[in-house]
Amino acid sequence: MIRTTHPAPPPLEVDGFSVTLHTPNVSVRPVDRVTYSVEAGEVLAVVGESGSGKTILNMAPLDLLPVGVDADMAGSVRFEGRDLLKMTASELEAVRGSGIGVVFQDPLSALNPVRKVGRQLTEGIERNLRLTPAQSESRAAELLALVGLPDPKSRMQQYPHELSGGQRQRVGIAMGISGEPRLLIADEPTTALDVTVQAQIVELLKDLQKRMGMAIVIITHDFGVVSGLADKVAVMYAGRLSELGSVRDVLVGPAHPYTRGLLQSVPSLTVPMDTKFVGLPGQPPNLAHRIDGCAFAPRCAEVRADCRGHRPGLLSVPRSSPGHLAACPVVVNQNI
Amino acid sequence: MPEPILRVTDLKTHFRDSRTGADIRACDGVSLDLNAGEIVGLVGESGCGKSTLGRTIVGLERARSGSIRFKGQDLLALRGKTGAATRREIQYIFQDPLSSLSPRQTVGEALDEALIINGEGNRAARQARVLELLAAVSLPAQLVHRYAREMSGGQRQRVCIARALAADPKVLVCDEPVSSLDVSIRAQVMNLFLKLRDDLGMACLLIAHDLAIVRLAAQRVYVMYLGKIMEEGQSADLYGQPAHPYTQALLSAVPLTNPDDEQARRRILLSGDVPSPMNPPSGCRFRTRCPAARAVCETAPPMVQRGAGHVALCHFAADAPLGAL
Repeated sequence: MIRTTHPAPPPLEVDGFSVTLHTPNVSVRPVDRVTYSVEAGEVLAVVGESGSGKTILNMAPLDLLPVGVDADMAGSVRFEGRDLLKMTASELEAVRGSGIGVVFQDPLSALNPVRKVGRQLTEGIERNLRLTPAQSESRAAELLALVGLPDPKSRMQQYPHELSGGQRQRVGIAMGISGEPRLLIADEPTTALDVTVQAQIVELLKDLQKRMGMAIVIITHDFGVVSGLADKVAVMYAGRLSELGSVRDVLVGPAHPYTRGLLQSVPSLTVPMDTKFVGLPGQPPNLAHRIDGCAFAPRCAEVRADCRGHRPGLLSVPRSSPGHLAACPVVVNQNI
Repeated sequence: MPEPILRVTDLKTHFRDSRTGADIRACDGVSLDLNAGEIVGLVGESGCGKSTLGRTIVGLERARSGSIRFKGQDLLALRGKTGAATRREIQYIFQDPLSSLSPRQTVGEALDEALIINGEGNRAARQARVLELLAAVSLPAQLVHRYAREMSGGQRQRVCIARALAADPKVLVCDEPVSSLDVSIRAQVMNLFLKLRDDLGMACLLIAHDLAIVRLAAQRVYVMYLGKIMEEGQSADLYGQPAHPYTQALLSAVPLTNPDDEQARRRILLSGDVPSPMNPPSGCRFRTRCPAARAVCETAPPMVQRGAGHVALCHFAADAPLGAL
C-alpha cells in the first residue's frame, strides 16, 4: 500500500541480500547478507578487491550475470520501493532501461562490434523514451555531446573499434544515461583508462549527476576515484560489507583494519619519497571454503583469539558520525 | 660517472599500418640511460610508445634506426649465439603473470626449463638453483609443485621474476608489473624490485602508468608522449618541479585518496585524446592538447636544461613556474 504522506522511497535499498552461485562441484556465496541504501542524488562507491563480490552484488539483482551462471538470491533489493528480486523478466527489463542505467567495465565488450555507435544508442532511446527514430537520433547526438564527444553526428556513423578507449567509455556512459535513469550503476567505469582520461570521466559523472539529479552506485577498487566522486563508501571483503560510512569517515578515519590496510597500500603523491611499499600479507579467502570467524582475521594485524570464533556484523564506530559502521568488534571496543 | 649499463640513443621503432601503408611512429627518436643498481621509471599514457620502447630493448620489436648499447656492445648489431647470450642478460617482466606462465607447468618445471635454456646441464645443480631462485623472490620452497592457477597474482608475478633471474640478468625491463594485481598485494612485488636493486645491483626499467608507484620506486623518471621523451629528471625534481606542461597535467590528474586534498587541488584537465602516431602534430607533439600552447609551438621545441640531469622538451621549460618542493 502506498501512502502519499510518506516521503518517496529511496532509489536503492539493499536489505539482507545474499547471492549463492552453484557450479557442478561447489556452491559459493559471493554476497552474504549485505544491507545498505542509496538516497536520491547520492553517489555510493562500492570498494573491494577482485573476488570480493562487489560486481555480483550489483549485477545479480538486475539479472546481468554472465549467461549460464546459476544464482540463488535471498533478501531484498528495492528500487524506489519495488523489489527487483520479485520482478518478472519483462518488468526487470523495463526498469533496466529507464529506471536504472548501467555502465559496464569494458566498453568494447558491452558494445556490438558490427553495429554503428549511433544505431546502438538510438535503439535503446526509442524503446525507453518512446520517441520516433528521428527524435531518437537527435537525442543520441545530444547525449554524445553531453558526454563530451566532439562531432557527435559523425561519431554515430562509426563502429566501436574506430573509437579510442576513452571515447568508447563515453559512449558506454551515454548508453547508460540514455533512458534518463534515476539510478546509474557504473562498474569500474575508469579502470581501463589513463589517469588523464579517468579525470575527465570522473568530472563527467559528477557533472551528469548534478544536472540530472541521478543517484550513482560506482563499483571500483580505486580510492582516488572514490574521493573525487562519492558521498558514501561501502567496503566489501569476502562477500560482506566490512565498513560503511561517509567518504570522509571511511577515507580519513577508517576504522576496519582491512580498510586501513587497503588505504596504506595505495601510495599517494604526498608521502615522503623514501617510503617503502606497504601491503597486506596473505590473500583473500577462498569462498568455496567455510569461513569461521572474521574473514579478514588471517591477514589482520589486530587479530585476537575470539576473532576466529564468530563472524562479526557491522557495528557503530564510536566517536564518528552516526552512519559510520565497521565489522570489527576489536577496533570498536578500543575506541569506546 | 661510469658508463650506463644500458644506453639507448635516438631509437626509432616504426610499424606499418596494413591498410594505408603509413608509418606508425610508435617510438620516434628516444634516448635513455639506465645505470647499474638503478630503477628508472618510464611513464606516459597508453599509446605513447613506452611498451614499444621496452619491447625493442629486449628484441621483441625490430628497431628502424638508432642504437641500444649494453655493456658497451650495440645490441642491434649482435647476431647469432653470442648475441642471444648477451640478450639473455636483459630480461622482460610482462604485465599479466597468468598468461605468461604455462598452465601445464609447475613452478619447479618452469624454473627448471629456464635454467636449461640458460645452459645449466646438471640436474642436481638445477634443483638447488630452483630453490635459490624461489628464496630470492621470497617464496616458500613448497611452491615448486604448484601450478599457476593455484597461486595468487602476487605469487605468480614473483615466479615470473624468479624465472627471469634464472638467466642471471643485469637488466630487468618490467612492463606494468603490478597493474594487473590487487592493490593490497602490489607491495610484495614492488618491494622485491627494490631488494633486487639493493642486493644484486640490478638495473630496472619500470614502465608504468601509475605515477605514485613510480615515484616511490624510481631514482630517475622519463616522461613519454607520442613516441618522444618530453621530460627527464631525478624523481625529486620531476615530481617536485615538473617543467613540461604534459608532466604537470599528468601529475595533476593523479587522484588523491584524501577527499579534502582532492577538493583543494587544482587540476589541469587535458581535453581530447592522444593524436595518432601515424600523423603526429608538427613542432611540439603535445601542442594540440597543451593548455599553454602558443604560435612558436608549431616549430620543434628544444631540450631545455632545468637542473642537473633535468631536461624538458618545451619552448617554455626555462620559464615554467617552480613547484613547491
